[in-house]
Amino acid sequence: MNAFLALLKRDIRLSLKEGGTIGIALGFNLIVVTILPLGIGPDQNLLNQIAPGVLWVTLLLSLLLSLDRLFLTDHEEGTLEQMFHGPLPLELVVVAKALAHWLTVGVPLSLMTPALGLLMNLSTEQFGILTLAALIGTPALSFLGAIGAALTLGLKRGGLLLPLLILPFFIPTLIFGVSTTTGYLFPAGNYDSALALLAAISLSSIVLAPFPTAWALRFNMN
Amino acid sequence: MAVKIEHLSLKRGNRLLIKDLSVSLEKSESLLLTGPNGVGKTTLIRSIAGFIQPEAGSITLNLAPDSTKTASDQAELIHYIGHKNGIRTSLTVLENLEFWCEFYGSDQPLNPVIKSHNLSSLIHIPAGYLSAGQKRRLSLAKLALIKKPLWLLDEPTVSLDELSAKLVADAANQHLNAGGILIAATHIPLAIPFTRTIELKNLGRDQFKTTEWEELI
Repeated sequence: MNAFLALLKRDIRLSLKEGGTIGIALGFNLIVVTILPLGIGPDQNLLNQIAPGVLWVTLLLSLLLSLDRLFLTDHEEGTLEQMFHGPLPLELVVVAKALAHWLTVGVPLSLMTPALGLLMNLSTEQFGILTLAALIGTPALSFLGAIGAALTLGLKRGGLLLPLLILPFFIPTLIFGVSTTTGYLFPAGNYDSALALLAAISLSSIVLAPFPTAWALRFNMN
Repeated sequence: MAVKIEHLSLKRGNRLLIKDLSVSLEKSESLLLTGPNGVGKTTLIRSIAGFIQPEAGSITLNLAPDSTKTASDQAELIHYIGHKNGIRTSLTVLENLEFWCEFYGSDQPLNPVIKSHNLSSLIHIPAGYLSAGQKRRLSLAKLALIKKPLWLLDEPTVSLDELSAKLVADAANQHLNAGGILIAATHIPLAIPFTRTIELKNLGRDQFKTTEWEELI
């Protein structure tokens, strides 16, 4: 457990120190949501209608931008090799690193939602529920993304392949995330089921994704 | 405590590098691997470290003082220092050392190790600013900081000055006296009385599996 916490602490410290990952993800999210209304025009009703979908899609893409760094630097600098001979099973190394990614990228991105909602004329009563949905849904993105990050580790310019591999797996989170506010799948205002499904996707990703990720890491050490 | 390699064959891509190699090491024994570049020294060390699966034969590690540990726990008892130093360059020297201690669960005091590896004046500098030799010293400090029975050193003294190289040899001798096992690959002579030396040889062209390209010529 100490080793797990040590790794979690180190990864959080690294991403705050290096700064690039969080900065790019937050900056990208902000800039896309800022220029979208300029392209669409000042139709406030239209903006309000598409706001949840736009916010979720930009969140997915921003998070995706930061995923390729998840194991890359540790792989290049040889620290990942060193972790093979540590007390922690590789699966738990993956959990610690993906959890650190969620805390440093997923959480800040989710907390940005209200500010971006203002730009998209999102109704104020939806701010809370959309932020909550993002917080519950983003762990799945970090953990599923870890599979892709590990698979593309040995490739030059693997960062470009990563979105193609991983975005399809983000679709369930996107659908249920958006349906917390739109009422397409469930009666409007009844967002409990959508939140429960988001939580189910996140929890099962946390449990299942570390195994294929660790397998891919072992394979790439060869 | 023993390392047993039996009829080991290793491949990289289509090339057979090691063929039918058998060697076994008991406690306090050491093995030196020599041979020209590309002959398979690193491949052999990495396969003992568990990164590369053997093509044939087996590597049996029995490193725990008691035999209760399973095969998968053996990895925890290996120190592998490879070509990459395994230090995060954006963390300071001290942060790197502290992380290892916490991660590997070592309660060794840091100060003596920092002093003996001549890192005292560097501890608050990000590891990325260190010279190649200083990075190597930091990497090797791990050996002193965390006690493990098997050391796998791949060119440990590369880019080290004479004094630091002697430090590595002293540490290795101490490790062997304490009952550890050492396997090292190097071109640079090390002041360690190796109990065994294996000179790896190129297996020659007949060992290469001809690719379609070669058949074309």
